[in-house]
Amino acid sequence: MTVSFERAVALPAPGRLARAVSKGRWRNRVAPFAYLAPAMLLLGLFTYWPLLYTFVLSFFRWNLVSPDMQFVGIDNFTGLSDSPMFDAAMRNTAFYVLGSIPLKVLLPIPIAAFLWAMGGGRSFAYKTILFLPTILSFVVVSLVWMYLLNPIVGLTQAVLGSVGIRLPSLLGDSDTALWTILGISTWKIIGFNTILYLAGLASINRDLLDAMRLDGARDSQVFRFLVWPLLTPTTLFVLVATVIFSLQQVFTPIDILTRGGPANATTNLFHMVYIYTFESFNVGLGAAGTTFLFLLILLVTVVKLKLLERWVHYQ
Amino acid sequence: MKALLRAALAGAAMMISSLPATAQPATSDVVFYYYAISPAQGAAMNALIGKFEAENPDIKMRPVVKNFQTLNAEIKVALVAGQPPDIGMIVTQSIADMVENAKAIPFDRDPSSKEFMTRFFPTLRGLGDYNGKTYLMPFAHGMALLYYNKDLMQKAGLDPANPPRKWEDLVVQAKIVQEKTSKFGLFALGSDSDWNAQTLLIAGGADILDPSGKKFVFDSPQGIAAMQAWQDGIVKHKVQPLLASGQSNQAFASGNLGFTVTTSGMLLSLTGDRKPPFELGVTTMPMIGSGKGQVPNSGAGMMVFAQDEARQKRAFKFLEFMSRRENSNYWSMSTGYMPTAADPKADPAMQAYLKVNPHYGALIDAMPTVVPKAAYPGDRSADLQNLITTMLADLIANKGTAAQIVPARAKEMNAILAASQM
Repeated sequence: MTVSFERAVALPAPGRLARAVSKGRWRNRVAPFAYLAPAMLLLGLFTYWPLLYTFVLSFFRWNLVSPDMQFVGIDNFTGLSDSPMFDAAMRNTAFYVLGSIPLKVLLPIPIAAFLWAMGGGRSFAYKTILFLPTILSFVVVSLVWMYLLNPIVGLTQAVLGSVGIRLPSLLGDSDTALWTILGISTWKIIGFNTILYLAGLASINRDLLDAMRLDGARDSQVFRFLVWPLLTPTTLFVLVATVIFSLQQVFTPIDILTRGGPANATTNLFHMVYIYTFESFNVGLGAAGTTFLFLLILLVTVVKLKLLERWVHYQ
Repeated sequence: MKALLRAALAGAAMMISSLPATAQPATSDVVFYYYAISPAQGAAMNALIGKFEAENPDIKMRPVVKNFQTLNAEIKVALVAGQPPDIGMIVTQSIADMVENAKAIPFDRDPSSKEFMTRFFPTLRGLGDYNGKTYLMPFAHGMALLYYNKDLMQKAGLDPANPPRKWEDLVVQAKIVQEKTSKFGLFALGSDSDWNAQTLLIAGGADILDPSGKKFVFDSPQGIAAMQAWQDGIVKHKVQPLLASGQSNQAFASGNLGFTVTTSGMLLSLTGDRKPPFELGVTTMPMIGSGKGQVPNSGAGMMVFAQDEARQKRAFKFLEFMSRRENSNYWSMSTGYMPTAADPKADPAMQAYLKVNPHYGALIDAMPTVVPKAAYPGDRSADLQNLITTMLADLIANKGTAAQIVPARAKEMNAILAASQM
């Protein structure tokens, strides 16, 4: 018996089929871009375009409103190196970043491990206390610390004074102001980083822990051979985020508590860029500073990722 | 590229301004950008605006409160976007910048301005002058005053009725207070603002810039002597504790400091409900060395940015209203700023206010001593401000004598000024 092939399956004509396939492929190619378009448009408009335009502005002398933008080549970059603020801003930026690693990246690890070992219910109060500074505005935090650290009428002085100790002017002395701002910013962020580490610890399979215990592993061995390796992805994230935080967010306490002083002892690159751009409207110099800061963050992030990617373990 | 930037700035201006100000303006409105650093200022401004609108029912004021630090930038952004405010409250050292870069309108465009500018106290009239024209009306100003704790003076065996008039006496009396009361003696301006540096230098009889405005001359013998006298109080006599910005006012208000030299803006925070726990004294700032009895102003005035004639007319009408003695006095009494009227005490409201707040009289008495704060020319003003404030910090840290530090800093600032674009 013969079956009419055309009747059993109504196939389209070869030309039509080719067109349909082609249309389907085209849809498959275009659709992802269509879905991505809104996000790409917003990112392009509000992130990449300003970034590119800031780079362009760094080659011009401009005051924000003048119709004339004078091309000055690399003068703004050489002007930055002549700036009375630049050396101090660079040095302090490095200090904020390097000082943040032991205080904001490493210190939360033992705190998180302690809370993790303590268990859910009992650690709740500690977690709340630790996390509280994170939800406070940095402006409020700065004003409160300004009062707390007042060497004449502050609460800290009142407590120390009762045992005959005189609180030094931590914010007024150029030798201590930088450390004080680093300390305040650590107090603000340490709870957040601890919570991130707790999330990382929560993802560790407890069966592995029990197995090590059965094999007679001590606490230090459990931490060194199990907890620490499995916490490295979280540590990498905390490290990258904290370095960026240290470059940017520390602006608020600098501006409120010391305005970059005394004698530029606390300023950083971010604060310097703000002063050039929005206090003296030297847009070119501010843009050159921003470009420099962007390249610095990019370099630090790439180096970190390259150096640390082999060190990170995933479960 | 510029068209795109203009579009972006227009969008930004619309986003950062409050809705009433950026909505399509009615034909008879006046958009007014100002800053208020205390709720009292906002309330006083609203009351004055209400009075103005009642008097001028055809004009609707659209006040927009802005951040003090970004107000100038916001005016420029709004200008680029084609929607400048009609009036802006501008700190006096920004006059040149706003004339050159924000199309501020000279007051000679309005015939009434000649008359209403004569209503101001003579030493304040010149605050708004730039290149031979007036661009700013005095409005919210302050100046340095000496505040003293009468209780501590009495306890130290000093006469509170005779506060120090000269800097040397101030340091001596502060030392006595410190030794006899176990409190701190003095905090006379810190290193956190260039206004502090200018106040000390001008009180010592120095000029900041030469008459051309293009060369720093504060390294004169008077300037060096003023800085040395200030450094001696801190380093040699140790009467001034090291405090960060804002901490000195807390220390004085709590009764832990014998004397403080600071802005008249602190007066309001020491009166009324916030009266300190001691008897307060206020007087003019003691002069340093051969000081000519002058101190620079702080604060802001009103500038007109309206670009079309009808809007300018309405803007100047509001300025005329605010220049009236009863209105400028009302603003001063409500906010703590110095009065600006030629004869503030002739106003019965001011007379009644002075009976309740006698310390405010010291501010009125000090008004003849005020001179304009020097504005730094060129596009490197941030560097110049930074260098003059770090000069103060270097003196505090005793990195050298005034004779070593001040001329070197003036030279450095002149080099930056020469390299900057005017």
